[in-house]
Amino acid sequence: MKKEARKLLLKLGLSTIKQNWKQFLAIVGIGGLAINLFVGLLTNASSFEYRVHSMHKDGNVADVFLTLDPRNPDPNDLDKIQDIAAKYGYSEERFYTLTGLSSKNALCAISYSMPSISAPSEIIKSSPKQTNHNFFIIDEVLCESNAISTQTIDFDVGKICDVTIDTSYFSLSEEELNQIDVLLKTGAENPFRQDKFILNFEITGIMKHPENISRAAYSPCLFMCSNSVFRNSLRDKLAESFTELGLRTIWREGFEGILNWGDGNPYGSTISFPTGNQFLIKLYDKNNKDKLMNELETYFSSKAVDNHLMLQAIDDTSGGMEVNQDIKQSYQLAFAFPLIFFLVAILIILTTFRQLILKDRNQIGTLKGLGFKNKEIYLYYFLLVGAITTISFLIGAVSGPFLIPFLLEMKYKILYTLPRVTIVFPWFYAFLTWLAFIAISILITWYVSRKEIKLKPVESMRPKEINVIFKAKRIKKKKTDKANTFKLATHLAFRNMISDPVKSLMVLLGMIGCTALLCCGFGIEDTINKGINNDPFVHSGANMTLAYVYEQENSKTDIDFKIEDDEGELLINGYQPYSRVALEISHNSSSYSSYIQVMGEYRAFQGDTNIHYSMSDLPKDSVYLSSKVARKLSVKVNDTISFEYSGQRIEAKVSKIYDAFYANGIMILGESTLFSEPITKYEGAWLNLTNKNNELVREKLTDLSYVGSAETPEGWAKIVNDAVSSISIITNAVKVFALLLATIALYNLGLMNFNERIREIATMKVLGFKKKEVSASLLIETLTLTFVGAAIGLTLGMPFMVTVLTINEVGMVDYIYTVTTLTYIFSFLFTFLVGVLINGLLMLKIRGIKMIESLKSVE
Amino acid sequence: MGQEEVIIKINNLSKIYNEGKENEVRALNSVSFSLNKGEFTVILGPSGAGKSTLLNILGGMDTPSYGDFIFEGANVSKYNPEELTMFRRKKIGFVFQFYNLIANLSAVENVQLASALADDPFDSYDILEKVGLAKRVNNFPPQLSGGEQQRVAIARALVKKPQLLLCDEPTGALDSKTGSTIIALLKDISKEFNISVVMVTHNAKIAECAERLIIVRDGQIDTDTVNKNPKKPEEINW
Repeated sequence: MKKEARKLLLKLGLSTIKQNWKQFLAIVGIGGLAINLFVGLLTNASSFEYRVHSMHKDGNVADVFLTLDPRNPDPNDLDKIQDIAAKYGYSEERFYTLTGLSSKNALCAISYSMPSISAPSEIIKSSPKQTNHNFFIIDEVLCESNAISTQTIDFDVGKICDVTIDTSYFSLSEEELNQIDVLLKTGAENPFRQDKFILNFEITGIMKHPENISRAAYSPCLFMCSNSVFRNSLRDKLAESFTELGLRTIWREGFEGILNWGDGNPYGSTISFPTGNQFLIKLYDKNNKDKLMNELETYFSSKAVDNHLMLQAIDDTSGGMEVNQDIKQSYQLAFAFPLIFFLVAILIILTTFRQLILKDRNQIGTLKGLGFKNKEIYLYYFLLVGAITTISFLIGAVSGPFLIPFLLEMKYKILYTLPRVTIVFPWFYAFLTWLAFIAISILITWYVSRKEIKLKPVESMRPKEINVIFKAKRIKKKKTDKANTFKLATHLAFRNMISDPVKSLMVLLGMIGCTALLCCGFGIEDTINKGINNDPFVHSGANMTLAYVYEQENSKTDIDFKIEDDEGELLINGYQPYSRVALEISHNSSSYSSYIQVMGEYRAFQGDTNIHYSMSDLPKDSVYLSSKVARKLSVKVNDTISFEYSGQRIEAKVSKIYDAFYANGIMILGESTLFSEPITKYEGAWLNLTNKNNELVREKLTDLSYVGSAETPEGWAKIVNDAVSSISIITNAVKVFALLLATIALYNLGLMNFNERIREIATMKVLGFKKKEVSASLLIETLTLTFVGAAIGLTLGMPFMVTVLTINEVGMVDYIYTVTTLTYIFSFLFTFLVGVLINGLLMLKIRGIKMIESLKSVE
Repeated sequence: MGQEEVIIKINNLSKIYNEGKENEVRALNSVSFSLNKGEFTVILGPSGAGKSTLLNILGGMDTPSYGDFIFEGANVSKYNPEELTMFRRKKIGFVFQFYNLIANLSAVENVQLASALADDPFDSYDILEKVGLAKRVNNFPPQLSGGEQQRVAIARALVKKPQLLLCDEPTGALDSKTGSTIIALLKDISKEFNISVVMVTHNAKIAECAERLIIVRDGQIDTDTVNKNPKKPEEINW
C-alpha cells in the first residue's frame, strides 16, 4: 500500500472514530472496566503475595515448628531434634506459650538472645536499652486499640506491661513447695502456690513479626522476650514474697537447680521453667520439609511417652493457612470477577463492529472499486479495533493497579500486618491479556466483516438484502377492529430481539451481571446483619455483657454485682459467668485457631433463678462446635476434638454443630465433666438487669476495680459490625461496578437500536406518531431484556455473594449466608430503574431526529 | 369544475436555509398556488428545484421560512411541533420513494401501525386488498417485491383516510411496468376516496397523467396548469 493510501485510510479511521465516538467510548468503557478489574486484582494478588513473602524473608521465618509439652520435658529431646534438624537445615529453640499481655491474649516467645530464625521482620521502634540479650519486643498490633477488647491499653516503648505466667510450668511438687514456703516473708503467700502470677516488663521495642501476619484481634499475637529480661522480672516478682536470704537461695538454686535459667540451654531439668519447648527449623531446601517432618514424627512415635504437641510447617499453621488461602483466593478473584465484564465487552465489540461494517458497506465497495485489496481493508478494520482495545487496555491497566490494591488494602489492614503496599505489576499477565483482548477483537472483526469484504464492489454498493427470519403466517381473512399500537410495538420489540440475538445476549448478560452483583452487594449486608442479629454471643438475651480486668479474673470466684441505685434498689437480678479464650483446636492432624466459650451457671441475686443465656441444652460430657470450625477441621457430630484449656489437654466429643457469626469455636459448660475440676473462675459475665437504665448500670460497673468493660448487646453488635467493616468496602465497590456494567450495556444497546432504526423512527414520526409512541417499542425491547436479565440475575445473586464472601473471608466470623426478599426486590428495581433512566436519556434523542434527512438516504 | 373545493392555499411561501450566511440557499422563493380537493397533482422539476422541499412543507415535515400554508382554512405554517404531529396524523398520508416500511412488521402490521393512529380508519385488510395484496398481508417487507412494498406503503398512507396524499418519487425505485400500475392505483384512489394527491417527480412522462401540473424551477413556480385530458398511466411511454 502506498503512503498516500495509508494516509487516506488513517483519515478515514479517524473520521469513523469521530462519527461513532459514543459506541467506541462504550467499548473503551467496558473494556477498560474489565481490564481495570483483572489487572488491578492481579496486581493486588501479586502485591499481597510479595508483601507476605518479604515479611517471611526479612524475619527468616521458620519452615517447620516443633512444639513440645512444656510440662513433660525429656532431656534427650534436645540433642536428638538438633541432630535431625541439622541434616536438612539449622534450628533454634525458644519457650513458647499462650499467655496474657495486660488484658490481651498473646503468645510469648522467650529466647536466650535475639533469634536468627523467626526474628522480627522490622523493628519499628526501640529504646537504647534494647540489645541482643536484653529485649522485650511487642508486635505493633498490640499497640492498636482492639475491636473486640474494649479496654484501652497504652503500649509503647518504655511503658510497663503485665505478663501472666502459669505457675504450672515450674512443675513444683508439694514437697518442693513446702521447702520454698519457709523462705517467705512473714505473712506472704507463696506465689508458686497460685495458678498464675503477673510479671512486669518494660517494652524495649515494637516490631512487625512474620508469625504475626494474621492480626492479633482474631488470633493471638506473638511478643518476644530475652531470657535475661524474663529472669530479672521474675526475680523482682519473687522479691515481693521472699526474704532476701530466701530469694538468694531460690535464685542460686534456680540457676543451679530449681529454676535453671543459666547459660546454655538447660531444657530438661526436672524442676525447671522450660527454656526451650519449641524448635524452629529452617530448611536449606524446602523440598525436604516432608522428610524432616517424617523423621521427627518417627522419633516421637518411637518414644515411650510422646511429648510433642504439634509439628507444623509454616504453611500449615493457622496463620499461614489463612494467609495462603487469602493469596490463593485473591488470584481466583482476579480470574473470576472480571469475567462477566469481559463477556459484555466482547459482545459490545461484536455488535458495534457489525453495525459499523454494515454502515460502511458502500464505503467498502468504493475502496475496492478504487483498487484496495481485501487484506488492506481487513487491516484497516483490524487496526481500528486494535487501537480502540489498546486504548481501553491502557486505561484499565494503568488505573487498575493504582485503584484496586489500595481499595482492598482497607481489608488487608484489618486482617493482616504487612509492609506498606508495593505495586507488583503483573507484566506477563498484563501482556497476555492485551494480546488476548486484541486477538479476540480482531477475530470478532474478521467474523463480522468477512462476508461484506468478500463481495464484489458492485454488490457492496447495492443496498443490502435484508434476511427474512420470520415466516409469513398463513392468511386467515379477518376484519380487524382498531389496531392497537401497544400490540404492534410489542410485536416489533420481540421481533427485533429475536432478529438480533447477539445484541439481545449482550444486554441480557449486562443485566444478569448487574442484578447478580447488586443482589450480591445487598446480600452481603443481609448476611452480616443476620449474623449479628442471631449470634448466640451477641444476641444472648442478656441485658449487658462485661469483661473482668485480666489480672483480677482468677481472684474472683463470686463477683459482687449487687450494686444498687440511689434508692437502694438492686440494679442487677443476677448473672451468668462466661469465658471466651483463644486457643488452638485440633482434629486428626489439622488444627485451627479459634475460641472456647465456657458457660458458667446462672447466679441469682433476686427473681428467676433458672436463666440460661445461651446453649441451655449443652450437655456436661461433650461440647458444641461452631460450623465454621467444624468445616475447617472436617469435624462431624460425634467426632472427637482436642484442645488445651487452663493447663489441661482435653479430648471432647462434639455432640452438636451450631451456626454462629461471632461466637465461633467451642461451647462448653463450666461444670463439664471434661474438665478435671469444674471451672469456677471466668473472664466475664452476662447480666440480667432489673430496669432498662443501662447507662447507669454501666457507669456503676465500670467503677468497680475488677470490671474491665461493660457492653450492651447493641454495643457488641456495633463492635462486631465494625470488625467486618472491610466487607462494606467490597460491597460498595460491587454495587458501583454493577451499575456501571448495566449503564454501559444498556446505553450501548439503546445507541445501537437508535442508530439502526433512525429511518424507522423518522417514518413513524412522519406517520404522526408522538415521541412517547415512537419510543414504545424501543422501551418494550429494553425493559423486556432488562426484566429477563434481572430475573436470571436474581438467581445468581446468592452464588455470587457466597463466592465474594468466601474470597473475602474474615477469620473471626462465620457467615450465615442469607439474601432477604427486600434485597431481591431492591436489586431488581435498581436494575429496572437504570433501564428506565437510560431509555429516558435515549428518548430525548428521538426529538432530535430530522425526518427529512433521515429518510433521504438509500436504505 | 366550478364547484371545486380548495383544500390547500400557499401564499408567498419561502424556505431559506442558512439565511444571512455566505452559504444561504433559497430552496423556495415566494411560491403561491392552491390545490383542490380530490385533485391529482404532479409537481415536476429538475433536481434541486425545490419540489421535495415543497412536498415536505405540505406534509408538515418542515416549516416555511416565510409565507403561509393554509390547509382547510388553518394556517399550518404557524403550527408548533406538537400541532404539526397531529396534522400529519390526521390529515396527511405520505408515500416515499424507498417505501420506508418497517422490516420486522408484516404488511398488514405496517398498515395497522398507521390505522392505529386514526380516529376512523379503513380496515387494514380491506385496504391491502384494495392495493392488490390480499394474499400477501402476512408477508414481511423483505419478502415482497419493490412494487409490492410500494403498494403496502400506499395502503399504509391511505388507511388513515387522509385528506392529502403526498408521494415523493413513488415510482423512482420501480421498473416502468410496476411504476405504471402504482400511478394508476394512486389515481384510482384519488377518485374513489376523493383524496387530493400530490406527487413529486422529475419524470416528465408521469406528468402527462396529472390533472394539474406544477413545474418548479429554481425555487419558484414556473408553470401551474390544469390538464383537461390526463393520460391513463398505461398509455404513457416510459
